[in-house]
Amino acid sequence: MAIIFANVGEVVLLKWMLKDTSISENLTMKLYSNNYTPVASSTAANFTESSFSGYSAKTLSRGSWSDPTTVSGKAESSYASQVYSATGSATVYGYFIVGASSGTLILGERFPVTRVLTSGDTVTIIPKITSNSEN
Amino acid sequence: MPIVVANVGEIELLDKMLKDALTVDENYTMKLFKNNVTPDQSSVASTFTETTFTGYAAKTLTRAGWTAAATVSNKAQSSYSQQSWTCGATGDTIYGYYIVGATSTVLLWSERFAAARVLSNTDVLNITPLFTLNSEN
Repeated sequence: MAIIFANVGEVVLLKWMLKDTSISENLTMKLYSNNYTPVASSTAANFTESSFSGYSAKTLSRGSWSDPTTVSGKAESSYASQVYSATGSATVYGYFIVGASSGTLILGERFPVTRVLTSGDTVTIIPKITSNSEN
Repeated sequence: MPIVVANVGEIELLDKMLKDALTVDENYTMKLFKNNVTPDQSSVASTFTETTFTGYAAKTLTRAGWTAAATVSNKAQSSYSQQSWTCGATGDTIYGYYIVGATSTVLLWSERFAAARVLSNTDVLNITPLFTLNSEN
């Protein structure tokens, strides 16, 4: 499935891009356990955060994103791979990213195939955001 | 003509969005161009020839001066107060505007007017900067 930037997330990102004059917050990446497909009108409340044994949300700090570069005509920035290790069983439908302090939903992505985890399994996600001119 | 965000501008803007410590971030400079060019994503600041009509000066757009972003037709939108130029004795033909980082001078975005503006003494050109952000999916 494709990454969906929520309307509320676009507002936050545009503010960071153009307007803010103080250090912006970090991001938090979470897995979700409800059978949900993100849409533009999604908010953080639409997702049920996973709670399987061994799970914890990941902080994505501003300073650690890679310097953006142009890849196939789009600016691209990525983050080190994030690994979630299960020590119990769980079903994970995708991930979502929120502002670390605001809790505002930035984006969500449903996995193409639901992940059914058992103890010892891992889920690895490499966060990547691209930016492109509409015209 | 539509706004075009240059490849070099996309990099700057994504950097500001995700990575930069914004306490040291730059303002923007808005300029008018007088050469007959249609911007595309490979454009850079030197693609444009800045106008020099009498009375012209580039405009500084401060970060704080942008309106708070809001969702309009499913896109985040932020605007800036109208910018106005008044032409003096020596006029010029203006094809559009471009916006660069105030200190980096990196081209961020640009727009060619639907029709070139031929300015002569006392003519006024007004532009209201507007920028939108939308999910690709």
